[in-house]
Amino acid sequence: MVELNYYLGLSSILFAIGVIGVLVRRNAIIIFMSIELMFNSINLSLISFSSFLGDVTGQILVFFIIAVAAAEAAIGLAIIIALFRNKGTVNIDEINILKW
Amino acid sequence: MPELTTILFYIFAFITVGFAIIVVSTKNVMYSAVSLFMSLFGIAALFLLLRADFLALTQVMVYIGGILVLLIFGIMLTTKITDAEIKTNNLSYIPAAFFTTGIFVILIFVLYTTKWNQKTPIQNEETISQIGKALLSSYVLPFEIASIVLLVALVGAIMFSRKK
Amino acid sequence: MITLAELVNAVPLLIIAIAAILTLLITTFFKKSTDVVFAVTIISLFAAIFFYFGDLEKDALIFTESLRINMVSIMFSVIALTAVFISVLSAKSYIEKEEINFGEYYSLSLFATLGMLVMIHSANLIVLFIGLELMSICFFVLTGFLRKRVKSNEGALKYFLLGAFMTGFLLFGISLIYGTSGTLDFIKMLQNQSLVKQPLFLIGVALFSIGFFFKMGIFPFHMWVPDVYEGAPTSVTGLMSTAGKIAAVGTLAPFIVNTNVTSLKVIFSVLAVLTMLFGNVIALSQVNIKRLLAFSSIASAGYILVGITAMNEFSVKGVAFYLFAYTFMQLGAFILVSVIEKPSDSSNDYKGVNLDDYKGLASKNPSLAVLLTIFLFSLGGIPPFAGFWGKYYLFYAAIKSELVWLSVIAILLSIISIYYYLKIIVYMWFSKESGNEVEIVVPPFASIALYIAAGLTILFGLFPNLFFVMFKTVLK
Repeated sequence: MVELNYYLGLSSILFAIGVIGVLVRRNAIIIFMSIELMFNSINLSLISFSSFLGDVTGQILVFFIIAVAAAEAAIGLAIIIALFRNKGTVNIDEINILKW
Repeated sequence: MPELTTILFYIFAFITVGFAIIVVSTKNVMYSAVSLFMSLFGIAALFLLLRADFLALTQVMVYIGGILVLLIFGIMLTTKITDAEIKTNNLSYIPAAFFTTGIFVILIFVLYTTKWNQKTPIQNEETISQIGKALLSSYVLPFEIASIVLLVALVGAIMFSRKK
Repeated sequence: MITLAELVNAVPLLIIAIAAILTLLITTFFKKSTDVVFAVTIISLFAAIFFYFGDLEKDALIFTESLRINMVSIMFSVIALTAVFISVLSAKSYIEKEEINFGEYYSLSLFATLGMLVMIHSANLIVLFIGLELMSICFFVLTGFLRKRVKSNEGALKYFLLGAFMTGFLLFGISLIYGTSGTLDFIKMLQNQSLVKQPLFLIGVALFSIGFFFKMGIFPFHMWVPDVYEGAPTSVTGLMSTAGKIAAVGTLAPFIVNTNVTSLKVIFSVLAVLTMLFGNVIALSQVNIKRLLAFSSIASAGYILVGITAMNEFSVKGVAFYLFAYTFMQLGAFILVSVIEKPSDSSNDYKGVNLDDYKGLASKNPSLAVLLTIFLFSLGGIPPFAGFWGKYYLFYAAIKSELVWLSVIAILLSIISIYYYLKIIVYMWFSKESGNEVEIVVPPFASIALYIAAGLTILFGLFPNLFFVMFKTVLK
């Protein structure tokens, strides 16, 4: 029997990896993937809470998070591609008309 | 002799974390996408270990089948795959490391000192019927609004790509 | 089961939802129908405000306890709807000028409004999350609405990446709240008094607040504000800086005020000081008026946080009044910027948004100069305009919670802000015109919106109690 703490620890590690990815990487698509990792770590912690509390509400929130993540992915890639067409790069160091 | 679930937990945890590290560290965007695929698979398996069968399925279908394919399309449309020169200068390693380890240490510390009010989880019960009932009774409003969110995403994506 | 009585209580939300979908359908099936869409949008927003003052039950949980209709949520909803109303009224001429006159602009504004109302009324965290995301996704698209202009694209990308990143923190907070309390329901959470003694619950609440601080533009989660405000179409900037902020504050403030924990108070007051300091000091050196107003809106978020930090019975009402006044003055200023802005031919930049473009405005168009002076005086907190009373109620709440030092700092820092507002006023009235300029034409709907905003700024400055009479049951 794996304890709840192990799942939460794993989820925290994944969250930290995602945060590092967002802060360190400069490619918009990789930053977006790191954000997806963060969302997944949250889903994992919500499901482990839900499972150990014997309560289905947490899983419903995860269901909505997945739906919203899909919507955000569509919008995000549309933005990235629109910018690429106008500017020719997705490297956020070169995206610098506005001071970052 | 450890239980089978414990062994499986460690295997999948290892897969998930290992590939997650590759996602954020590799220089090639395509490798990142493929590693993300493996990492998400590991998470889906962990969902199964936590008896969230429906969400494990959703994870595979929406994340891996939908979002990841979309991402790979995005990569192919925005980078020239042939020249693998994709710049990554690492300006903010040190603050990022401080910030993240700070959060991480606090979280782990508190997580392990908190006493959780655990109930023994119910074994061998499908969650899909419970989730279905809840979505169409208590959570019917967010369910409807989620459909609007997806509609808006559709309209928005079309707005960005229209010509005139 | 959903009963008829519940539907009656949700009429304003239903109006907005139906209007949003209707406008989308009209845009799809009829070419050149933007005037009709504009009319539908304006009428639906007005009807929604009207129904809020009608026969709603004043304390109800509807849709299987998903939405909470009470005086506080009605108050914030009305303020948000007012902001959207004025903003959309003025947006028509702006999007015609920038040649982005699509019906989708109005539907996305309405969908964003629906998200705000759902958020403000939400009774559990699932509904809150989905409403927040509906609003955010609409704002991402609206920010990038000028999709041929690189600045607009960049603004949208930055807003999107940072917004999704901060949603991560918000969700992590929600997951910790869920894990410690075992519920996602606000009411059950607040009933359980022992929760606030658990450190992990408080970390959850803090992370949850970070998500909202990002939307409000609180230091150090403000980094998107100047870039996105500058990059977004000016009418969208006005919408985001008022309605978006109202929704975030209207959701967070009632929840936080009810927890009333000392450790959160300490963190919040430090953040409030840093936000006010940062916003006001950086604003001093700005040359682009959109960026200047962005930094001043960061400072305003700091004043609002002072009110929230007080966590007593005066905070919610002070915050509400400040936001109400802020809507008129901030939105009025942005409408003026959008009127003075010139349509630009190059694809990268907005023209006519530098402070130099305001030199000699008074000689060219005195009525515009008078209006902008009113808005800027009000933003600076000079009586007898509404902005003065807004700050007064916020700092009063802080003093009542024995946070005198915080109020004193806030007052001192808001005196700094008068300097950069005065700079614009001096440019308008006392500087010579920089070059040969074309005459500024004020389109009819924009001028209606401007006069409404200016009129209400003065009205609520002279009679601040009118606001509390309007929502009288909030006060005892």
